[in-house]
Amino acid sequence: MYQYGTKEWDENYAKIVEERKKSEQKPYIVGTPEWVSEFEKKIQGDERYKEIAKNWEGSVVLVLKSDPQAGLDNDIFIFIDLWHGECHSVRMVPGEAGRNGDYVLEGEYERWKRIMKKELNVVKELATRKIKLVPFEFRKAAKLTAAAQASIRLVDLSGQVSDIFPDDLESEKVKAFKALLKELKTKFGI
Amino acid sequence: MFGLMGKILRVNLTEGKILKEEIPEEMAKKFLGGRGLASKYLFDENRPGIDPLGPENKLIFMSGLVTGTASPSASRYSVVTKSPLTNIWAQSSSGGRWGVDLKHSGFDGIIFEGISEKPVYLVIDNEKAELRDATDFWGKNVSETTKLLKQKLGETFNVASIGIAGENLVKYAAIMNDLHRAAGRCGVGAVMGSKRLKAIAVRGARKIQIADERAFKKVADKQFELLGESILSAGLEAYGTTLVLDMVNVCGGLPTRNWQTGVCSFVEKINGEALSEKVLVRPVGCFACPIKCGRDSEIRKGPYAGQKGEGPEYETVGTFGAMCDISDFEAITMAHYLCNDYGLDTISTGSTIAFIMECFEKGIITKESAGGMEIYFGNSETMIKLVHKIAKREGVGDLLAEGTRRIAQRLGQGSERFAMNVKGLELPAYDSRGAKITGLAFATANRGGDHITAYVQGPTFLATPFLVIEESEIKDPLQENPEEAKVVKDMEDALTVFDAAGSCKFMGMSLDAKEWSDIIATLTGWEFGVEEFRKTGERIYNLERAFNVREGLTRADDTLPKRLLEEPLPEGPAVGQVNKLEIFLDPYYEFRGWDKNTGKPTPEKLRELGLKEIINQIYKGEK
Ligand code: SF4
Repeated sequence: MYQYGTKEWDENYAKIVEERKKSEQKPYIVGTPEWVSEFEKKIQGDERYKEIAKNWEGSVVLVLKSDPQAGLDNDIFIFIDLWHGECHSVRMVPGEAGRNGDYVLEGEYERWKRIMKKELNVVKELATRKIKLVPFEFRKAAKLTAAAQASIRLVDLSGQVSDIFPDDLESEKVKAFKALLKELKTKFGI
Repeated sequence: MFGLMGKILRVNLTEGKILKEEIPEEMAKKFLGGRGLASKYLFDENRPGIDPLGPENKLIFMSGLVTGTASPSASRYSVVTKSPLTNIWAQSSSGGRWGVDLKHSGFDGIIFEGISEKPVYLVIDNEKAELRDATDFWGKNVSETTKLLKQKLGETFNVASIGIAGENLVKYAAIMNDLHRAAGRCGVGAVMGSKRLKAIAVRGARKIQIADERAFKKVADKQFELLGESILSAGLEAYGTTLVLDMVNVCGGLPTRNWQTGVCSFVEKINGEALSEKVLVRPVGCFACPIKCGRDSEIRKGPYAGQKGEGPEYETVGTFGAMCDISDFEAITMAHYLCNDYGLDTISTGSTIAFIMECFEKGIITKESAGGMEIYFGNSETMIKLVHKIAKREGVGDLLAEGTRRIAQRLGQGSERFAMNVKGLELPAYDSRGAKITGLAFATANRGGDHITAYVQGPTFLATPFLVIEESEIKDPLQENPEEAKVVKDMEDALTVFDAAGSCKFMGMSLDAKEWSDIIATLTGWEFGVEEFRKTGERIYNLERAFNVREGLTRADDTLPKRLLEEPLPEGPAVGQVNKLEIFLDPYYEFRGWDKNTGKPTPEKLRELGLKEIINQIYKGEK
């Protein structure tokens, strides 16, 4: 397994993203490395996000809790590296690295799906603790409230990348999705 | 009675007489307390058309139904009267702990009528009430009055009073309690001044009876627990209400230079972080509040260094800062302290100054007509001078003390286009061109141009839904979606219940209607579920509207200043936007069950809400 934080991990992660971008068709399936990469591009190209997040400091990690029925055998950690309106990178990362992010937002897969589809409001989900800031720290919670618009913009952008979710797939594709996640787990610890 | 003390005081200031009266339980069930109960008394007792500053106008103080209990933020009382600023129904609510102490003194509320010959103050000490001579306190501001009264009566008394502004009948004078907390809007302080009532000092240890103590405590504890982990509460506690400045500005909706633009270029000098860095001493809260959005503060540098107080709040910073184009945070804080001490509403004061700055810019008022003053945007010294002048009605301050609507009527020359008020009440610091639905809320609020009647700024500018209504989401704030008029109606009704209960409206963001209904049900022993919660809010709201209709208000009054309707925002994310209010109005009246032509609640609606006894009063002479 590649060690997260090493050059080797980075290079091989970039490679798998590139390969899959060539082999897979758009719109990509939510929760795959190619989808994550598109999400990164979306944020980086979004002027509105730059404007409303110009004071934001720190990484945000979206934790999609495992949901085997939906095709997620393990939790997925999407690490979004953000600083003053800029997005340095968005990547899937191992759980341990994800937990070290600045703002770790954790929720059931189904909730995230509905948020990305704009059926639910992420701030309301945070306010009702359906999506949780883990661990809950007063100072961070305050910053998140102040950045409510930026949070909404981020999840809106994620929703714009694709509306194909793993549990909407036919069984063959679900198998392939599960196999992909397994491969990511074995090779990258994701 | 559970929840309420079940009694009010009726104080006739002309005759110097005080009576105790019982509150019928049936009336309490329908109107709860606070704003609800007080509005019922006002509707029944005020004759339409009377002079708000005359002896016939009633001035009613009423604590909320849950005020003084262990429910979160159960601190508030309402003042209800006819407004000298708007000439319609007026309500202003305040936190701190004075409302709690009033209730503990043995009374839910006080109705003042008549006019005293000499200045007086009322003392209530554990159910004993007495009017005393206030000649020695007349001419003194809030801090001094409070200090002197406490010296005289004892520290355990809590004081609500007016300052010089109320005595001078400044049309937007406030009533202050706990030194820094204001029943600020609509000029309730001027009504108090007109009655020559300087202050009310209260003390008491009367216990509030709770129908089911254990169940009540369980619900209240759960609410505290929920609030403890709410990101919204954390935001408010960390930054106070100034949390909101950046959020509104990035939407292009922070009214700047008297609403000439919605983008404030110096927002980082006046936002929540600036407050924390420049003046914050520590967060402070009202009675039983787990959030503590208040700011204990001190000016540390500049000409006002050493001055201490509380605040400033978002609205002060929005009006004295962005609207007046002033980035000097110390001066803004000083203006806030002055308003609190003089007893002035910061929104109306700041807005009126911003308005006169634009009049000066446009040559509508000149140095000569302003008594030698040069009233430029961005001049903080002038701004501070004007606050003094308004409170004292000195020079140009005498004109400014009348509020933007009357000033524009006097000055003319097109100034009414940018006199930023609705029904005479100055608008708060949210430009509705940056979130369309908020324009509807400004236009329809019962007390005039107000944000907190239906805080739709929450789901729009702040991207923060209110859990207390089922659906508060606004899909695209820059679109006029007629269906979303229902959000305004639902928010108006729900937040009305908060004023009647005496709870802070911020709690409506984090707790839902079921949680609030449970509090009321376990407190009172009444059957009170979500449906009753909604209906009660709607009933009170319609009663207030009926009061306004009886005063002559029509659909034509539910409008916005011309600037918002006709002048597109020149820059920012909402560039080019104006308020197309008409798109919202018909659907709103439909959701409300009001007549679309007249804006009156229909007889059917009033019957449905249990208000049939008032139908004749608003349909007088009509078939
Ligand atoms: S949130 Fe603020 S205004 Fe509301 S009760 Fe608490 S301290 Fe008072």
